[in-house]
Amino acid sequence: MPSIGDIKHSIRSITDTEQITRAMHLISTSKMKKAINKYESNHVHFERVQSALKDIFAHTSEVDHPYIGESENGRAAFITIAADKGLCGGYNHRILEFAEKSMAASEEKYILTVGQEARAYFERRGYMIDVEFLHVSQNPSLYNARNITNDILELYDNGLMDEVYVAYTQFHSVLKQEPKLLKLLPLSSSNFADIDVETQYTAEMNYHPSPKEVFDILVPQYIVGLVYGCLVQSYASEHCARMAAMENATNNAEDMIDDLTKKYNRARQSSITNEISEIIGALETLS
Amino acid sequence: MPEKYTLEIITPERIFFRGEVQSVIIPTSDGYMSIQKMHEPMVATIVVGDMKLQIDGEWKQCTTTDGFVEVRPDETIIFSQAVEWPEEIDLRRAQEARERAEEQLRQKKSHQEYMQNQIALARAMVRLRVGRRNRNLE
Repeated sequence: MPSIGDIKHSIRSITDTEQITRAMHLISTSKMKKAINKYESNHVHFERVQSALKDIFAHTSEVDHPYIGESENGRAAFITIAADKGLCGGYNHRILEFAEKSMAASEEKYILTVGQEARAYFERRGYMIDVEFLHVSQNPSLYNARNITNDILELYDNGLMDEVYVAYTQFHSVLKQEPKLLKLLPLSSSNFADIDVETQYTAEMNYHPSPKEVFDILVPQYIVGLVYGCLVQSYASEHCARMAAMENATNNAEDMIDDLTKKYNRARQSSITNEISEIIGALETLS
Repeated sequence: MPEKYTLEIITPERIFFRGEVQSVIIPTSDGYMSIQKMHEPMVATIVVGDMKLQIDGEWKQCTTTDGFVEVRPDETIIFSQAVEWPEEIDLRRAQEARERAEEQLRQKKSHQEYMQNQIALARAMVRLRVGRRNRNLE
């Protein structure tokens, strides 16, 4: 049986930890609310822009453009979005394992990471990291999305890669998030297989000024929107995961403190009982 | 007066506008283009500039950055990076952005950075122009 001092010591250290997890829980809760607001205002765009693109493809016969079609060579780039910090339950683990599995199929690959945890994970596993986007994970802004898009398009335009994917955590609700792989480039109608378009008309689209110029501008715009959406959803998922993890940690700490307090009281009581019986014993021998 | 149709203006950060309009005038790479009801299906690019909406006969002005518009028989959707009413424009921020972009342009940079700064400058200029000139009075 541990001594009273030991128990007291562990109670104190667990109380300290509990204070930290409680604070982190509160911080994540407020960040999560902000992140969900951002998500709410973004998700219409995220869905509509994809269905618009699908619609455009449905009404376009043949367009010859480097951003469009099916790629032949298999050089793929994977952007993985994870958190900057741990302590968020299975969030990092899930997305990183998922990303690693998704990229296993392609032989020649480029790894682009968002978030410290993503970098650390791939480095640990001996992958070469080609591009690392810093300070993005904690601050999903359009400005950052634009920078990422510019970097990707520069690499793509120079013919260094044939396909670009982004692995992010899709946000469904506070309780449900799941890792997902989204193909950014090149665009083809197969990208939009799971997106509904409600319009039913058969006319051919006109392009103003010309198909090439339209896609020159449209595709980067579309990608900025998607990258921003992925960043926002990952950010919201991260904070939901962290909030849940910290809530659990706080509850566990409370349980442990209860348990230890009971043990402490029992140990204290038994030492008191001991002392009393010693005194009584001593009295008896004296008299 | 032209007939009404449904217009949506969506940016990654919000739904800027959703409702019935009679006409919208958008800035494209070769000048302004007006879209009214029964326009043929079309995809066009939008450049940084000022955009006008005709709602119940009244013209309202706003600024837009680069984006694209999809005209469908049932509705028209404008996707843009940022759209703002004049009263939302922070003139001081726009002024700062303009100075920053001009400073960047003075330095010798790569072609790509040059293009990006040009766009940033154009964005700041249109914000300043529209923001200073008129406010849509409610």
